[in-house]
Amino acid sequence: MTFFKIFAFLLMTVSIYSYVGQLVPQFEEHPPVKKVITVATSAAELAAIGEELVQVKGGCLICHKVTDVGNDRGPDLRQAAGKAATRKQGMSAETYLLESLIKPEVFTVPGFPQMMPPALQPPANFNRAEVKAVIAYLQTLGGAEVTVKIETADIPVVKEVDATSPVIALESPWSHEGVRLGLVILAFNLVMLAVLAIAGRRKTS
Amino acid sequence: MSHSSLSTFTALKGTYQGVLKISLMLAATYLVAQGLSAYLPAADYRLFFGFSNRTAIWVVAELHLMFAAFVLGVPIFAVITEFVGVATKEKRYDDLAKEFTKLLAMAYTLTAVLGCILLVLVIVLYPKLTGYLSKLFKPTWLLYIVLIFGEVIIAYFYWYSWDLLQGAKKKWHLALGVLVNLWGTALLFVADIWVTFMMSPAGIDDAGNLTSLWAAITNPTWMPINIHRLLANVAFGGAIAAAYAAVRFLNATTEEERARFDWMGYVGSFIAIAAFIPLPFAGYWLGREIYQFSEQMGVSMMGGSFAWLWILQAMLIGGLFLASNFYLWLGMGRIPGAERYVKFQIPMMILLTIGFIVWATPRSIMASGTEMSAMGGSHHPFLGLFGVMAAKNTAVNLMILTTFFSFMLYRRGNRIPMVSWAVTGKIVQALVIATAAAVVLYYGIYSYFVPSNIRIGFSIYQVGAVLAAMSIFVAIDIPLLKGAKEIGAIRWGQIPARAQYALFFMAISFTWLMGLMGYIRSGIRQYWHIYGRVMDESAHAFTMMHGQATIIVSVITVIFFLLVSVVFWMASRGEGGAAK
Ligand code: HEC
Repeated sequence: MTFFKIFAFLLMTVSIYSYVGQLVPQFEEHPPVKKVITVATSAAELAAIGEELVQVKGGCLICHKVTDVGNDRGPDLRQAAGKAATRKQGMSAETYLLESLIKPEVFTVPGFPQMMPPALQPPANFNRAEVKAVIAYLQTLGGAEVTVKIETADIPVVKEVDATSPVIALESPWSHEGVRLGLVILAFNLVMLAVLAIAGRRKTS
Repeated sequence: MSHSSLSTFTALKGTYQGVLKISLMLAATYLVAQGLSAYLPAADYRLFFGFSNRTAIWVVAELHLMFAAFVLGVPIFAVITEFVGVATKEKRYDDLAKEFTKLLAMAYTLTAVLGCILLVLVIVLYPKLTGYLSKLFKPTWLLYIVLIFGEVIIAYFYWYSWDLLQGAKKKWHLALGVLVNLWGTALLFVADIWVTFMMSPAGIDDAGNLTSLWAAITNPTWMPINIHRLLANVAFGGAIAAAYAAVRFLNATTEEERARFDWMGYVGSFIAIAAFIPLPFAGYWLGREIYQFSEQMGVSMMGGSFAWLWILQAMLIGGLFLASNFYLWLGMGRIPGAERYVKFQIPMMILLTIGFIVWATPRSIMASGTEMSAMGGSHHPFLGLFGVMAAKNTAVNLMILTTFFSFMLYRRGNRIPMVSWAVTGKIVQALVIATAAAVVLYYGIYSYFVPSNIRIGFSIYQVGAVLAAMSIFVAIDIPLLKGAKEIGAIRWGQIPARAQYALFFMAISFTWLMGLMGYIRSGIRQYWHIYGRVMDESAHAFTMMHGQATIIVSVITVIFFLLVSVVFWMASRGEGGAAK
């Protein structure tokens, strides 16, 4: 009886917790879709890929905003392309944007802390082609003309999959070692049995 | 002599049975995993009978972790209780320590079974990743197996030699108890290597080759997780042991039994709360390491999609504090003289509730577009102010202080200090608490006027003030109550059944909280196996909706308690046999 009462209490408590879990916003977060960028990719397509990269794989919206609402940890990205040419004397907008993505530590926009992660490294983990796609997007977003061009050197030589996941031998690592380990454990069991037998002998004698 | 050697034999036999069980389980695991890997078509990923591989691993891993937490946490306070028994020469402490330990033997078996299932699942469902990880960490795997055997031998022997190693030999038993904990801690630390490496990889080059095993082991989140889990295990173990006592209390047939289990429940809940109090601090440390390792991961944890789950966490923690205070206040009913302190209960309840509300208020959240426009920005205009971390820190520190104060009143319940400086002492104590509260509030308010990087530092002062106040209070309290006049003995067993449900509530909430935090810890890797390095390319590599996730946490909690009730049942059944 007590058991059922406690069980009912358990169900009630966890149901309340799960119920509250239903009250918070519900959404699924899917991994980024891989898009192939080539030298032939058009500017509009490039910008579209860039937008997706900014929103998903890059995780940029954690700090930046591209609409009126959003985060203000970093500057508003709608103005990035427009202000780019003025940020550093003698540096073109495109070069500045490239630098601010690849080496954000070189120049820090006044009024902001230096916290932006370099885009070529994890977690964004872009390749150069993707960085350029993002620039194309930023330029469209700022109403500027898309000036970036994808060059062959930008496109990663290795296939994407290999770049992120280390080459792995598929055979089970347990095969030989498993058996050897099993023998050691068996021997250990035998030793313990022997100890037991001796203790048992002493008990009877 | 013959009697003692008979017991030695029984103790050894019991211990060997433990070893045999583990050996057989490992052999079975190996055969099943090998067999399935050979039988199933080669793949990078496999589904769990058509269900999500991610969820299958999640459920089994969490259950394994809960049992592991229990079997690692309980020996820590079992041996402390045993030490107390030796120091005070009170047999009831030794009995209690034994009672705690009794829960272990069966729980070990379940932990191992779940661990074996988990191992089979990771090998079969994620062959590629598992292959990679086990190649990287092979030496640690071997170490782990050695540690498991060591732990089983020592822990079983600790249990089976309890009555054998009494009197002059007690010191050996205590040494065994310490050893159980050292091995257990080592086990935990080794298991944490793999977990934390996946969160914050280190020691590998761009191609994923190992450059330094040591760097991979001592990755940024390893130590914070070790400490966080160590504390959480004790809290969790205490809460579950208290739930065991509560069941036994409700089922008790004699006054003597009721008194015994009432006391056990009290000690268990005390341990749970005492270990729980430093936990948020360990959590801050872990959070800071995560931020330092990857701002992005940190932000998606605290400000991104997972942020909503912290509201649930706040609700659970608030509930735990309320329940523990409620339990203490009900417990004052069995203490003659505690009526004197009833007047504090209402204000404390109000304080706790306010703290609870502040803590549960959402803060900066990466909400979806529509939500953001509904709230007018990523910070809610009004709630934003209370929702920021500074307010939460302030609230939780005040809640901790309040709960501490409840405990101290409880402790003093039936005693009147007799020392000549009693009045001064009490005034100093009150001042200490008031000062700490003032410091906490001051920095809480001041932090709204400084940038966030300075604000982070303030939480250290707040925590420092609370910890200092607690230590000074206790340092005064011990001599203050020396030779105090007792109004009457504590009437153990005279506590309403409601109080036992408060204990159940605490155990359930601890379990659920652990399930939730485990989900967040693992989930913030999102679609990465190894964050930023190895992507999860399986079909189920997405973050599910919070509503579904919390249902799974509930299911895990229910399964856990069903399994635990088997352990409890075995433990009380064994006793019936012994009583005969
Ligand atoms: C952790 C927060 C954070 C993340 C994530 C982040 N940024 Fe930034 N970003 C900043 C901050 C802060 C600045 C301003 C300081 C500086 O220049 O380093 C900045 C500056 C920039 C600038 C220069 C803006 C200007 O007006 O000069 C660009 C462009 C930019 N980020 C793009 C991106 C993109 C694209 C991503 C995603 C790949 C991204 N950021 C991710 C924080 C972040």
